[in-house]
Amino acid sequence: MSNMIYLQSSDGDIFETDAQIAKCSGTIRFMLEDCYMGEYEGVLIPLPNVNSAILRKVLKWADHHKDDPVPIEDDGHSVKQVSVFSSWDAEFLEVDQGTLFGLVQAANYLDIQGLLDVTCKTVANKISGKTADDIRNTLTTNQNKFQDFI
Amino acid sequence: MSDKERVSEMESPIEILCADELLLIFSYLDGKSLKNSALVCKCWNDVISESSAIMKNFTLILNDGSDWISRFDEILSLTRRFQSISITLHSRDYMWTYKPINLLVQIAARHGPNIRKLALSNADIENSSDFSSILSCMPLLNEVVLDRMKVDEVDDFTGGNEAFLSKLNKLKISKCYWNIFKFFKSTPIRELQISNDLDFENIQQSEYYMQFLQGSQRLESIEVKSMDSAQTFKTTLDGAICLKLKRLKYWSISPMYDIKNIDSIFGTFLEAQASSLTELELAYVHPTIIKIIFTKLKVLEKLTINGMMLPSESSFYASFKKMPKLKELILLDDISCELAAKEILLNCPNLETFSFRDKPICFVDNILNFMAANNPAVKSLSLNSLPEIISPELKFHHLKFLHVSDYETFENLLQFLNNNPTVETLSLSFDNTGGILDDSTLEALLSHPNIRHLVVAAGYNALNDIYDKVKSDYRNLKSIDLRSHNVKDGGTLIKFPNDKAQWKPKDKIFKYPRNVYKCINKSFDFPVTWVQKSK
Repeated sequence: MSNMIYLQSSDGDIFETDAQIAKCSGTIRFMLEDCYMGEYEGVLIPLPNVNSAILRKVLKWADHHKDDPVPIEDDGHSVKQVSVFSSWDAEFLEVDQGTLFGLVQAANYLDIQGLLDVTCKTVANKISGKTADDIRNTLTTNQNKFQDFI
Repeated sequence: MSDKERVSEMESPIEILCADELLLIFSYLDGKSLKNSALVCKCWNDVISESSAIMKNFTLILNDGSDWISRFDEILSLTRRFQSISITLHSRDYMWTYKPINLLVQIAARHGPNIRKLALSNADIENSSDFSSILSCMPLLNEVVLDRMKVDEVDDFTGGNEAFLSKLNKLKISKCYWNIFKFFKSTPIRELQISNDLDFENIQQSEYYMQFLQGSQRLESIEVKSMDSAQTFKTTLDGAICLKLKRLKYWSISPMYDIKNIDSIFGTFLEAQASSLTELELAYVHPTIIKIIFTKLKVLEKLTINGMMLPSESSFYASFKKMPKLKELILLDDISCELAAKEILLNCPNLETFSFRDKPICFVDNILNFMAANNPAVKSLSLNSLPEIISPELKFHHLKFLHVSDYETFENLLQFLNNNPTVETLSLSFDNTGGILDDSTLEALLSHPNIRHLVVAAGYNALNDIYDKVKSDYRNLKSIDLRSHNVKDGGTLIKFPNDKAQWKPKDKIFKYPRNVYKCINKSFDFPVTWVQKSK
């Protein structure tokens, strides 16, 4: 049984997607199950913090990972996680920095743990092993950024 | 939107990330990279220096069996030191091989000396000596969590494990075969949690468990959550009378009193714990057990019960003794008769916290009036509902905290608060279908002379409405705590501080901004054709 729902990006575009796929997002899952009490066929959920380009990527990621096993419960709330990700993810994240940061932000807002893990790790890889200067150069496209040097 | 804004939005620089997101990223860095990152800019420096969490407690989490195995070299080359490991050995659709165990042995050899917590799930360990060699690499191991782990009976594990599990403190077992306990025999475990669906498969499994219990001299706390193991519980207690527990929680869906003799065995066990047991939580309790609780467990401080059948003859209660130490009583189900409720309350003279959840006390009239007269020390009350009419005698002289979760009207609530001026903290909860805090009641609570702290649990729309009304001025209150009971992880969404000078109201308060919610409500009315045209 398919249960299609609609997601509206900040630019106003509307994406049709299977509810099961969209539910990898804790935010959307919460809305569907708690706000609509499970009766969500055809509903429209506006996502004012996610633009169309990012939402398209997020849905692609979600579709690829839709059959992933549910991670086991971990009681350590404050512990930091290090997970290993697949070559599909690595290829998926070969994007410009703007998109990558947008994905981190979207994964956090939408509460998609798996995507948050891989995107954050990808950003960390760009930082890892570099000096402060190198990090600034890597992460900025114009020199106006990082003006708050110490 | 100006051109400048548009450019910066398209570039989406790293500055768009908030502190939480940056912290997640930093948590993947090793110490040196972290140090360099702290020198990048002031903002990053603040984020890093303010977070003690990212400086310690790293966990290596390998969730997808098929995936981490293929990238094993990368894992072994990680330079970060981990204090905690969490590994899913086989993913659901992964063909079983012996490989994950071998790899785990290598990971254990590399990181073992630092590991304090080990969590393993989804594995069938054929050779039990592999498991003991993993554990033996981890001398500092403090906590072990095993989920869906099966150990075969190929080699009986007989080596002395005292030496290498000498720091083990906490053990959590879920959905495992019971013979797993043979590894933890004679360890200094203090806390044990079991949530197994399976009963013992054979007598040997129950022997392993009993030997474990008999050897665990330091065990202080046992929590059992189980679908159907009344029989298991009975058997295990046979050999465990030597224990001196402080804490026992036994949660079962099947009523314990269905099994013949179980209550006399369990009763004997409880009596043996009488001198140490301070916290007890039980489901489906036979009258015999209640009698033991109220005649023998003299040091009990906290009692939680879900479901008890109590007789209505007063002779049953004749032997009940006063429970001077019992401070906290939590009843999750109705009490079957008024006499029982009154007898229990009479024997808790120093009760400070009384909580009655889920269902109303239908059989007991005026229970609150009775408590007001007989339990003068009550400081905290959590109730399903207040009586419709509040009599002037309904006064608790020390009551500080009141929680109510079901409302017909709010008149009785306000009346109760006027009767009980000592109440400082009021907690209200509204379910999705129930009533809502109306304006005049909110107004009355805000300007109430005695209420200092208000806690409201409700749906997002209701919380947003309340937030809008009170965010810039919450009058006499010192703090307001708005929380959602819908979200699994629940908890506070926003708390206005005690110190009003520090409080800066925000437009958006929740994880899901309120404009999203406004839109969702509208979307019910979207014409279907419009949606189809736009996609």
